[in-house]
Amino acid sequence: MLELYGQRFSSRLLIGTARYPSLTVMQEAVKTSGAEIVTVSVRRENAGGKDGDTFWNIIRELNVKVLPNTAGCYSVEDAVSTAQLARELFNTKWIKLEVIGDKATLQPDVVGTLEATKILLADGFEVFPYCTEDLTVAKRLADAGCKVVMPWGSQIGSGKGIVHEEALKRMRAELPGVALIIDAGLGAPSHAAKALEMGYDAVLLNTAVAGSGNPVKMAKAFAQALEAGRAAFEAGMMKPREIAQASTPIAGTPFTNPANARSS
Amino acid sequence: MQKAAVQEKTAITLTVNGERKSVRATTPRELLAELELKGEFFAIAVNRHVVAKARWNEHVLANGDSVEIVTPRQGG
Repeated sequence: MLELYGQRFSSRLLIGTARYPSLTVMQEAVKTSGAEIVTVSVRRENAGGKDGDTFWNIIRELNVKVLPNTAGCYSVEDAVSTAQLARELFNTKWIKLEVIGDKATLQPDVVGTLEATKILLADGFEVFPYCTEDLTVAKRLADAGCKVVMPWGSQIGSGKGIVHEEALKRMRAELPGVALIIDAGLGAPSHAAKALEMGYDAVLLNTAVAGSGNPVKMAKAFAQALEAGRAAFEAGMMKPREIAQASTPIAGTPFTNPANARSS
Repeated sequence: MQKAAVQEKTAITLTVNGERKSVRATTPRELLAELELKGEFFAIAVNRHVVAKARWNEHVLANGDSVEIVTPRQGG
């Protein structure tokens, strides 16, 4: 079971609700993915004032846990204020904290993220900080009181998968008591399987499903990949070897001289 | 003459979702009605402080206040 701030989930997928061809496709994809947690945002209401209602009614029908984000915030002050609005709007202490440091790469401002994390934890939030593969930052976030840390696999929406593998493996080894979620950059189900094989607790993705040719089918593919990845981690994978080792028993190979039998 | 003076007094200028607006509303609840925001799911911050829904009828808006009115939206 996945445990996040004391709550338990059977699915290891946190899925975004943006960029689908339609709200109907989004709803169907979330259902098919088996995800029990979806990410949402807060945005200014437009004239007429019913866009929020339409979206929110669809989310409520899904009967899932909601994780609001602070996407688009470039300062600690904006992220904290947005988190407070999200808490009021969604009636949850959970917040996916994004303090972005660079417009082109959407790389998190890790200094600002740590600062905002401390403010929000002190204010009673349960913070899910989006950060980089930097081990020191992840440790500082955990030391501050985060029970969940969410390093990127690669840049948001890039679909490149886990490009910081060595650093992320190290992070997993160094923070055994923290729920670690790969957030951002995953493109293929194999990337998600890989994350769980590495011992990561869950993945958070959006574009990989929403931007695929068939979001509902892709949602299923990710669910299957996550199941496989987790089972592989629990089973314990073999250690890689530098040279070949015959899998077929050598003893009794026909036409061989037992005195100088060689593997093949 | 007196009526005009009263109206002058009650019209205030707010920044609502980044736009300057002259309004007659004196509370967040009245502001939603005046702006014809008809949905149910809003959160409101005045000068960056969240005003809980329970206080939308009580909180008094002041001239120059900056108001954010937000709703749930798609996110990743």
